[in-house]
Amino acid sequence: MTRFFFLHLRTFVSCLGRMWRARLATLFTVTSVGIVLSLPLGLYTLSVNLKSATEFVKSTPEITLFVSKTASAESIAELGTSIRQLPEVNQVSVITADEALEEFESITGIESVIKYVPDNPLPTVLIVRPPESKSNPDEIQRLATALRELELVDAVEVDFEWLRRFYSIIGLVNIVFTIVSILLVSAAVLLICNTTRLSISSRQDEIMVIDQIGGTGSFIRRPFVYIAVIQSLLGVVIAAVIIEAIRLTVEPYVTQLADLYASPFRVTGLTWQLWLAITLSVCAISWIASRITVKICLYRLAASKN
Amino acid sequence: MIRFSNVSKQYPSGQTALRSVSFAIEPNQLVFLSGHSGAGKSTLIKLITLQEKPTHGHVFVHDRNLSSLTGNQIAYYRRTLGVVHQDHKLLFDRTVSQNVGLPLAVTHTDTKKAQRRISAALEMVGLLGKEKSYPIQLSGGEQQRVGIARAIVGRPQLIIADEPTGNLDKELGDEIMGIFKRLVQYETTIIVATHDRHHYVGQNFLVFELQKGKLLPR
Repeated sequence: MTRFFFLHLRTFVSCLGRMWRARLATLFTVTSVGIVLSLPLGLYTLSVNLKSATEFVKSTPEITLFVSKTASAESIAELGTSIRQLPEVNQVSVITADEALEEFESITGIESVIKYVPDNPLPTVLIVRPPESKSNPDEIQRLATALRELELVDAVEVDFEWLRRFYSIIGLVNIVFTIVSILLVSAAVLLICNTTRLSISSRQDEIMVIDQIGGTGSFIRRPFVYIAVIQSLLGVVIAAVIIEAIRLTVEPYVTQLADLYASPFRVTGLTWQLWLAITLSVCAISWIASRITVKICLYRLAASKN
Repeated sequence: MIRFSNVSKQYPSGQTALRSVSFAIEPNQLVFLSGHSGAGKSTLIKLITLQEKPTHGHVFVHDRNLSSLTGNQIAYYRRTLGVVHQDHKLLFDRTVSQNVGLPLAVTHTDTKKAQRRISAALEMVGLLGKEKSYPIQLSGGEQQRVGIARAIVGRPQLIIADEPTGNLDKELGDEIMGIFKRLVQYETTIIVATHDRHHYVGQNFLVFELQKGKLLPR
């Protein structure tokens, strides 16, 4: 067992030496792999953040009830209490007609014009928020229909249509991200395979000599596979650096924007567990792909020499 | 040690390189394989080194039928051989020491032991002190001697040389042949394919002569 690890360690060190001797070529390959990998991983990070952003949006769907202008303050309070007791309702806020007018004036800045209107034209409004567990579009629609039947309620406005569209867009974006990510990961794997093929091609003489002096298939294959895996590993490191650099650059602007909308949303990076899983997956894919490439190339090389 | 039993070899192109060749070589001999270009010398050597397989007949080395070897068995068998090529097949991006040590790297020989063996092999071919040189810095004769050092470093019982003096002038060729003649004293069987008769004429060596793929009677 010790001998087994020693052999692999020796191959690993010799591969590092070989990569160091050809450091410019290694740098180009590893950087290309890193950039190609950073795109799908960046899209994945973006997708994770979009999902997180929609979680915050998800908690805010609300139903607006426009109360009849003839309703007295007592009957409005009773209406609010009765709605609050419904199991599908989490919170009810009341915006009186006067408060609504005040807000309208402060937003539009047309108080001088409002002075000439004899009566407050705005109705009292009840904002009904369902609990998070019952905030999907179908349940909100059912609640809105029930509230519309109530006495004193003139009109009901539900703000989930835009949410439904938003979810559709997010779904579409996720599908596009997935497809693009698969294509880009395939490109990274093909890049590694092609580098391995070129490396075999440039070391044909060495391979033939080693084959002739009794090198086994695994002895010949091992350095190429090791180099492919090391290149992938370094590619993931470069991709991680690129993504983290972009995240840190974008983070203050997104935070500022989120604060403007009073949203607690913050840009997050990928967790170390996820990075570990990505690294292992990329290395495993490179290992398999390079083994297949080496096998095909060596078979072709042997066939061409006979 | 080596036995060819009715061996024929026809290439896919239809060219027949060997026709019903049979012979036996006992251990610890220096054997010359002679014949003009295209006589079948290289094919015969390729059959021993398992670069080719016979179309008919069998090749035995140490009583083992080479046709029965597959996969890694072929690699392990090749480790028991030392092969010297006409164009020496050195790796020009490696030093003399690294080139000579390749067979030891393949067998994962311990570094210190490998160093001792490399020095011994280089001493035997008169290149001690050139360990760190690159093949490009050596003359044609020296390059061929590095090829011989690589062939003997694993202490094989059988050394096969295919036209080892083919690219060298007469003086250097004699020098290389001198090395082979010395090596046979170390309980090694050596087969040298050459079209240059002066290396063996008038000397007491076993010579097999090939003509158009047929072994001529001795």
